[in-house]
Amino acid sequence: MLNIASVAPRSEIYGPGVRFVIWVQGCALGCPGCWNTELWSLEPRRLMSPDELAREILRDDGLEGITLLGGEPMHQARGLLRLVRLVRRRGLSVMTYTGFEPVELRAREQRALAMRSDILVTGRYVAAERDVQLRWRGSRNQQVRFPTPRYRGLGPEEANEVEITLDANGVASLRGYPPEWLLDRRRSRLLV
Amino acid sequence: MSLTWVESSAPFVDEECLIDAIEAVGAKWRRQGTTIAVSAPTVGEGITLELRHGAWTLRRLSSEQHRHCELRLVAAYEEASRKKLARLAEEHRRAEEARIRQEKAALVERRRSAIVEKARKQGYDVKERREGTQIRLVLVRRTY
Repeated sequence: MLNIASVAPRSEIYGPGVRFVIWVQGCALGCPGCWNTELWSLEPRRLMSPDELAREILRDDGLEGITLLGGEPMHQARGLLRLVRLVRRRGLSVMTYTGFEPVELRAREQRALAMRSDILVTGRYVAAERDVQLRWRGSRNQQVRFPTPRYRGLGPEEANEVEITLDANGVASLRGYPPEWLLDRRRSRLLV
Repeated sequence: MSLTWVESSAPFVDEECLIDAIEAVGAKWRRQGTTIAVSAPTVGEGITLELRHGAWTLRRLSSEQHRHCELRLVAAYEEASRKKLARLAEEHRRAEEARIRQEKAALVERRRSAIVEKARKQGYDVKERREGTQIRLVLVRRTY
């Protein structure tokens, strides 16, 4: 079973095109300054089988791919590998974020998940290296890798990307790497 | 034998409900100025309603049949009033819901415009997607 913190059925800032984004629950790395500390706990949050999650993803035929982040996806490499196989069969691409460096991926499933990701972002979040001007990552030490040929031609264009969703009640939710003009981080509120 | 007329002490204040009630008990009615003459199936004539001080006052013959007819009319009036109040409450609820929906839509639009305007001033490209009731704004600014 997968332990899921939340999902965004459609997002455009975690990889190329429109993607189904999955934040897994649980991370033992505990990077100081991490933005998602509420995803550290390894306690079950929303348990789903990989097949069940794949069905939910594949209902939308307008997706370019899926993105796995967290939490730490490599803690759930086995289940995620099953999910990746199911969605890749239908032509979706896979992007995975991990706080591990490639040499730290020792389990067979972890290495397989890394190798089956079309884009792999690796490395701890380091608060001293924080940089919201980077595309797809939050600190300068983190690396964007292309284990498969699918996106190797993508240019290294850096960008600050933020996604804001407004629901019918005017409630805004924000994803990505918000700059200071947009978010009061101390009070976790939008400045617009 | 002389005829005795009885006047209802509880006037009917809502004309629409009164007409509904008269028709609900199967009676016919005819209006002449400020008077409505009622002809009911079991009693025939002998019931009139007069508009006084903005409400309709019932006058009827004192017979037992006419008393029963009045009771049926009063019950039908109460039922018509209850239905009218329920209908008005429903109309009010729908109007209020529509007003709140419009206010929320205006709020979302104001917030969307403010975000887009501020983002563009900061040099961001803004892509906008509308999916169902959601608006998704993707703000991108090339950096290095």
